[in-house]
Amino acid sequence: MSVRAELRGVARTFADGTRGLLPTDLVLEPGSVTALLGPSGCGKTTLLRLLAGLARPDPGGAVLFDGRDVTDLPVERRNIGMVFQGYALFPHMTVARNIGYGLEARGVPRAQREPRVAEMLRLVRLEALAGRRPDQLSGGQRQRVALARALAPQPALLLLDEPFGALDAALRLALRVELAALLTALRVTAVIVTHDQAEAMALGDGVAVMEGGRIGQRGTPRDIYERPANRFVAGFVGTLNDLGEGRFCRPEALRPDPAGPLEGRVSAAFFDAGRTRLHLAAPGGGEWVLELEPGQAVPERGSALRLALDEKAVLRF
Amino acid sequence: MRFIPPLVTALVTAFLIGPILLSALAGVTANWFLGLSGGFTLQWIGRVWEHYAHTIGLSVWLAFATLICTLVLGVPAAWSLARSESRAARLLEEALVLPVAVPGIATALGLIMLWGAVGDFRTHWSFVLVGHVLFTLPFMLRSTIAAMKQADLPVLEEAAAACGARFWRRFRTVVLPAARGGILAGSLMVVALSLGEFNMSLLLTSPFTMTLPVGLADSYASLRLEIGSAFTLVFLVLLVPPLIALQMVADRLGGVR
Repeated sequence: MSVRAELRGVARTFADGTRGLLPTDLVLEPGSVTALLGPSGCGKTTLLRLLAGLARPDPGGAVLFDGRDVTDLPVERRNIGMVFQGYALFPHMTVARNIGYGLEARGVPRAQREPRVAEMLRLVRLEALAGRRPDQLSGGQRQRVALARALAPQPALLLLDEPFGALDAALRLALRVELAALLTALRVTAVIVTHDQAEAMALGDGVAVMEGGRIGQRGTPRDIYERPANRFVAGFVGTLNDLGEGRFCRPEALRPDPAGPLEGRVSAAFFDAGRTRLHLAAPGGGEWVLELEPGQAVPERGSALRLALDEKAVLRF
Repeated sequence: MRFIPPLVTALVTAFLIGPILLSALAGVTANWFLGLSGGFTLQWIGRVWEHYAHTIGLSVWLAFATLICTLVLGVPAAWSLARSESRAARLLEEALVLPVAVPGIATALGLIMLWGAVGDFRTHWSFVLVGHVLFTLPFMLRSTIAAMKQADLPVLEEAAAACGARFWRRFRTVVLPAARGGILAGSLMVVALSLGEFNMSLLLTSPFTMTLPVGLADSYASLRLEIGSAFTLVFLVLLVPPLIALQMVADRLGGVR
């Protein structure tokens, strides 16, 4: 069921001449979950729309599903499922009819539609709300309806555009765990667009960090975090401490050590769920961030702190 | 001071409804110049039915045909205008207020110059229909476009397409329901405007294709005042209840979104 999707030299220029996406090659293995991560305007949504068939690539680019050229195939004939930013639920239809819409569109008879819709309602735990309309649902419930609507026809490719964008932080976290479990269970080829690095790292088998209309780096979440290809990627996927002379490190590479070679002045300390995040004023004028283990004494603000550095974890750009 | 708002409301209502009530009342008096003391009669209403029944039938038929035409032409046009981001589309939308400002008589003259000599078209009811469609179409367009824009239609259509729905299914199951409130409001407007349209109809109608408002003017001009007034009464009794009923249906259907 899951498709191998491929972009070959796909670019997109908008009507006003701006380049939304520079020529890009990308392969999505069957059943893989890829997170497209980047700031707004980096081209991640454009790439998703090109995969979906909601936008046409500039001449020369090709979109392939299992080796078949689908560049000229409109979105409704690509057998995809899509969760839109803001969900785009049909306001005049009930939850059940929203979820069954893709099946209806594919000509599945009612007798087969109903059990499938019931199954999807169970999957997203909305059995009790089948008869409601979207405006009677909470944000999290709407998100689940949108997901069920996309999944009901068993699409070959699942595309999610900022699926948690409209939700508050606690709900994002809960639904992220839920979605991760669901994607693992379904083994559908999936692409998730997000600007939240924690979300991308948690959900994607692979992450593609995008910048200025192209993919800056592609790899596993750990690869990208520990061996970022450039300064932009490094800064986008995690906190980066500037050690001077093109040397950088992650917060984990620093720890308090009275005999350490570095020294900074404590400027702030934030208590965060068991750990304390310490901000130091670096001698060069920058700022370093490190995390204290639970139980470690928190130094006073303004005091000098000597630090040891894990040389193996130093990044150079 | 609490009695002032209701008092103002009552005065304004009286100002609006008074003349119509007076006219309707005149229709059942035996002789308006003798006033109520002259007694009441239904004979004028009988005379109206005798002389003008055909105008009532034609007007209702025309309103219905106008509605069908504006729906068939207006809804697809509204859809493409609402979706288009071109400057021409915006200008055209602005231009849709023009028919309200241009005197109906001018439009009618234009139509007569263009079509007057073409066969028997001039004396056929469809000639009046063309005028009515011309006059009412912008109202259908404007209310439908407004509803479509408010519904965030492009996104919903993309969602439907991503679910695998082809064009006609999207139009039927997403576009039309999303714009339902606007289409119903526009329909109501079109029916009401067509039934009451006089300016253009005065020139477009012929003795064989006389509409109700033209008949009303004709009766005031050529017969007794009481007959014209009785006609007003018939007009109200026939058309106001169905219009109110339509409005109620539209409110109920349009309210649920």
